[in-house]
Amino acid sequence: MNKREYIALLIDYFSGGACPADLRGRYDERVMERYFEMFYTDVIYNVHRNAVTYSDYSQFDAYAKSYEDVAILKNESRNEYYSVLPATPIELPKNRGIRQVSPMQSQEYKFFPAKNNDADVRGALEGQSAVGYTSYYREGGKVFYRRLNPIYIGKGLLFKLIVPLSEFEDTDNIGIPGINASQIFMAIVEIMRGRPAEKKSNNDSSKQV
Amino acid sequence: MDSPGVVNLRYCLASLKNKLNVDSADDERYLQLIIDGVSELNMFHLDISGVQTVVYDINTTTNIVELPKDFIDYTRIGFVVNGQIQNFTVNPNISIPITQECGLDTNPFPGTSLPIPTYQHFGKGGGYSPLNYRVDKRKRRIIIVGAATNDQMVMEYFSTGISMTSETLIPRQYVPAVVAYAIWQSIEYDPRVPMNDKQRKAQIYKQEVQRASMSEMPSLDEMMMAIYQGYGGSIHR
Repeated sequence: MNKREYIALLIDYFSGGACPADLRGRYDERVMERYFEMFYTDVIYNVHRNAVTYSDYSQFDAYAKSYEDVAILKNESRNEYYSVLPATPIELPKNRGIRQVSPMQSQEYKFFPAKNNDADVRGALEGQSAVGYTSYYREGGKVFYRRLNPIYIGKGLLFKLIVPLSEFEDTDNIGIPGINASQIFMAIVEIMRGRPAEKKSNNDSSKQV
Repeated sequence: MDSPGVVNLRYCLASLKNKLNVDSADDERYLQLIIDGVSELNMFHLDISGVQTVVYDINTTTNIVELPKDFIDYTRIGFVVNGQIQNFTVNPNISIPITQECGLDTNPFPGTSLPIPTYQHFGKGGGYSPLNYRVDKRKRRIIIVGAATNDQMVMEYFSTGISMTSETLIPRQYVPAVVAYAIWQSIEYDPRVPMNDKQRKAQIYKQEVQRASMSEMPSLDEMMMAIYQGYGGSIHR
């Protein structure tokens, strides 16, 4: 099912006869989409927990979106190379929202993830010097590179990110684990039901009771 | 052809990740543990990198040679005679120069210049060389004393086994021990991991080291040759 179809299904429910009377017709498509995004993020976090528990990181495959030819830029004042993240990934432990940063054509030489405050540790130990890998660390909406191999400068990189729902196109298929598909639906219905009742009188004050 | 007999550090990392079934989030940490493992095994248990050989021109003015930066310990110090290394004699009585003059080490207590009395030991067994040495590890140098029969000395030494200038290669038979070390160390200091798991990983590591050291034993032919060397032909009486 693609993103548009999920939203349409919700809208259909809220406007149809099966919907509780207090909810029927009371929806905003944009609000619905944001709720959907919120619960989608919860699902991704649950997938993460499941992946760690069962050491099955392939569960992330369905949620990863790839971005090609991401440019490498240089911050002259810091003398560091960096890239702007093509999308804001979902925040997961150990920065797992960034699944992979690699050269476009040699994914086996993917860059190693690092922490953004452990340059002292990695600089003192011999790992990076002895093996010569490139690492990256995240700083807000950017990733900075350590010991970037000069052969990559001027070329684009391949990013694989686990992104929130808003980063998907309407026609992109959204993978949601079977057990969670209806749960998301019902969670949105429940949260809509829990909204404070709308004020009936119109006196130019807040619409909430 | 079979798979390569030597592998690199990336191979060890891949082997570890495959065994633990983990993703790439901790690659840097695991790689460093693998490097620690190679160093540990090379220094204390196994001959992973082999010895390195350096040839020095002995400075006959100071009789001092500087140790290489990657020096951990030596296995032999000597000079080459007829294609074979003849060891110098270790002499812990050699006084270490502690002052410098014009950039050269000088000893404030030069004493007398009596020759080392090896020639007085007529009929003494082996183990003596006309050149004596003492390693000054604090200042990372070797002090040579005696008549230089050859201006060059040869030192064989071992290091961490981690090359900083080229790719580090590890004989394939040592990979299980290296990986077992990294797995063990990755949990050893984690207070959340139960003690029995730590003990088990330590046990596996020790088993792998033992197994790897078996591969360093001489071959059967070599052992038989060593035994045969003790035999001698003589007339039966």
